[in-house]
Amino acid sequence: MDALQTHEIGSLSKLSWRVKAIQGRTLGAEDLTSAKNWGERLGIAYQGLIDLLQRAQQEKLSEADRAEVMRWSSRYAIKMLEQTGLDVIYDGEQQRSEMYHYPVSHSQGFEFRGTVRSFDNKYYRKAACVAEPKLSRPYHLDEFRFARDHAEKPLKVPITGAYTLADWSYDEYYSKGSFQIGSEFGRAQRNQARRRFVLDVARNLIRPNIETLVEAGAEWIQIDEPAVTTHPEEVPLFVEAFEASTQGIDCQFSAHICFSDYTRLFPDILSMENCSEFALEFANRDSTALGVNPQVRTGYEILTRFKEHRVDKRIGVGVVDVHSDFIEPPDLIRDRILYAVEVLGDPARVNPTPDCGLRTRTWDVAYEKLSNLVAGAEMAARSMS
Amino acid sequence: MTQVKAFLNGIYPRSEPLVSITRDYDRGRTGEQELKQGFQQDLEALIDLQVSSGLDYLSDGMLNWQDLYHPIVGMAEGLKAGPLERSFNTNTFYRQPIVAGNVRLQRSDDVDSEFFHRDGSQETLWKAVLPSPYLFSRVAANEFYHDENELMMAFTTELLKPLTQRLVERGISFIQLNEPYLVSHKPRLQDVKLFQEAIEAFTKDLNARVCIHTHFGDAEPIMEHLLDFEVDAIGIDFLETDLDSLTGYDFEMELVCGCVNSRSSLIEDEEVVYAFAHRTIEQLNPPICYLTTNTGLEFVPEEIARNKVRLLGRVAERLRTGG
Repeated sequence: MDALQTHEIGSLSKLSWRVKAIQGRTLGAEDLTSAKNWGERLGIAYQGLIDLLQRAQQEKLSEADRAEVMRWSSRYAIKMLEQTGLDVIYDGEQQRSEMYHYPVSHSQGFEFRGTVRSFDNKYYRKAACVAEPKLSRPYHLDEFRFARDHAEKPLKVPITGAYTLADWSYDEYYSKGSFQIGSEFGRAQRNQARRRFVLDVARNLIRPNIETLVEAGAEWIQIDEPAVTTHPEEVPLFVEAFEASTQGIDCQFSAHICFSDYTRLFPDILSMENCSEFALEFANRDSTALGVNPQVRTGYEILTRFKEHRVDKRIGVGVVDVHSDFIEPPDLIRDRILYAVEVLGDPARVNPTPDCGLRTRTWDVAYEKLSNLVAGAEMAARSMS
Repeated sequence: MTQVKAFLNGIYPRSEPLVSITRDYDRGRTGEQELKQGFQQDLEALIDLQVSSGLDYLSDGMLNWQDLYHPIVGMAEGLKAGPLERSFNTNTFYRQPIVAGNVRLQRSDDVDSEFFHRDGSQETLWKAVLPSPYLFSRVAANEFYHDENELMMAFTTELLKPLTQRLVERGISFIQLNEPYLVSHKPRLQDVKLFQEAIEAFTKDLNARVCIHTHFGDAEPIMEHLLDFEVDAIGIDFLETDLDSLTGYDFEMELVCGCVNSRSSLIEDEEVVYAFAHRTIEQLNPPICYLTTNTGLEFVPEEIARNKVRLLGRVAERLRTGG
C-alpha cells in the first residue's frame, strides 16, 4: 500500500465552452480562447475542439457533436488532473450534469419536481421516486471507457451511492398512502418505506452500474455518500445499502462523506468490510495556522475517533477547502498531513485529498489547490523520511 | 373553545424565476436592481398567497435569508460567519456562527429594511421567526464565552431581545423561536432550566406573542418542562411526535400544530389533516391552535409549498366553521 497516495474526490467545474456548447448558448471569442489556452497549457492537440466550437457558433450541434464536446471536456480534465501530479485521477465528472441530477435522470422511476436550496444561493433540482427505480442502461460506462483509454494514471470512479440518491429524492412511491400524522404507527410506516426505497436503489441502480464498471476494468470505485449522517439513526441503513451495492464484487471500494458530523458514523461503519477507505472533508473546519498539534489542527479532531475505534481502513484526508478560493500553501497542507499521520500512526493509512469535488472553484483555483496538495504531500513525505 | 388559526412556519422556498435570478446574480450575469425586483415579486406573490389562503398571521417567508443565522450574524458585533454545517437531518447547510467577542446587536438600522419585510397595514398581523437562544448557543462555535449557557444568556439579552423589540416596534406581533436542538439532542436538566431563565428574560415586558417551536424531533420527552416556560405557545412537529403521548399533559398553552409535512412532495389528503387537527384540538384542548407545517417549507419547490399553504388554509377554515 502506497503511503500518502494523493487523489481527487470527483468533480471539477466545467469550462465555459463546455457549458455553452451543451446548453446551446452562443459561444464567444473568450470561450474559444479559454479552450486554446487550457489546451496549450495541458499539451493537448486541441484543433479538433476548436473546429467543433466554431461550428457551434454557426449552427446547432447534433446530439453526437454535443457528446463529442463532453468527451473533449473529459480529455481536458484528465490531463489537468494528471498535470497537477495527483497519483489517482478521474475525468472531473465532465460528462455528468451533477452528482444527483445525472444518475436520477438516467434512471427509470424518477420525475423531477423542482428546485430546492442547498445553501446560500446554491440549489439543486430534486426528483421524486414515482415507481420502483430501474436502470435504463449503465450510466457511467461510456465515460469510464473513455477515461480508461485516455488516462495515463490509475483511475478511481466516483459514483453517487444509494443512500444519498434516496435521501435527496422525495418518495412518492414507497410511502404513498402512509399519511398517518402524529403517531408511532405513521413513523414506523415511513421508516419501512424508506428502507425499501434505499435498498431498491442499491440493488437496482448502484450494483448493476458497479458490475459493468468492474467488467470494463474499473479497479477502484468511490461511493459518494454525503447524506450519510443526515439521519443519524439511519447510518445502519447506509451500511446495509453499501454492502448490497458491493458485496461479492472484486474491486476496491471507498466511501466519500463530507460536511457531516462524523461521530454519528460510529460504531456502524466498523462493520463495512467492503470499504477500504473513508474519504472525508476536514479542511473546511480547520484553522489555516501552521502546526502539527491538536490546538492548531482543530478540523482534524475526529481522526482520534478512527484511532480509538482501531479503524484499519485508509482515510482520505481532506487537506484543501473546496468552498474557498484561498490557495492553501504547501506547508499548511504538509502540516495537515503530518498531523493526520501522527494521529493515525501510519502514513500508509493517509491519502491526501481535497475535501470534496472542486466543482465550485474555477479551473485556475482548482489547479493551484491540487498542485499544492501534491507539493504538500511531497513535503510531508520528505519530512518523514 | 379552541380558536383555530393558521400561518407559515419558517423559511419559504424561492420561486423558480427567483432561483434563476439569484444564480445569475452570483455569476455576475444580472445586477442588483433585477435581484431586488425578483425578491419583491416573490414577496408580493407570497403575501397574496397567504391572504388568499386565509392565514391569520403573515410572514415575509424569510426569502432573502441564507439560513436561520446568517442575517443575524451580519447584524451583530462579536459574531462572524464560519464554515458550512449541515442543518440537522436535512440536505440544507448553514454558515456556522462563530462567537469571537461580546455579542451585541449592532446594525439595528437595517433590521427591518433588509431582513424583515411587512407592508404598512396596521390591521394585518405579522410574525417573524428567529433562532431560539438554546439552539443558537449549541450550533454556534463559541470561542469567547465561558460556556454555551453564558453565550445563550448573552445572545438572549444583548442580541435577540433588542432585535425583537425593534421588530415589535415595527408591528410584528408573533415571534416564533425555532428550537430543533432541544428535541434532537437530549438536554441536561440544568441546561433546560437555564434556557427557561433565558426565555423569561426574553419575554419580560415584550409586547408580542412568543412561541417556542420544536421540530426535527419528538417533543414529548421535553414537554413537561416546556409547559412551564414563560411563553404563549409551544410548537410541535407531529411528524415526529405521537399525539397520544401528550394526552396526559395539561395543555393550557397555545399550540402550534405542525401537521403538514414540509419535507414531502406529496400533498397531504385534506381529510387526513382535518381529522388529525380535529383530534388534536379535542385531545389537548389548547386555547388557540395554530395550524402550520412541521418546519419551514424551504425543503420543497415553491409550487408544492404553495399547495401546502392552501391546504393549511382550507383545513383551518373547515375547523373554524365546524367541518
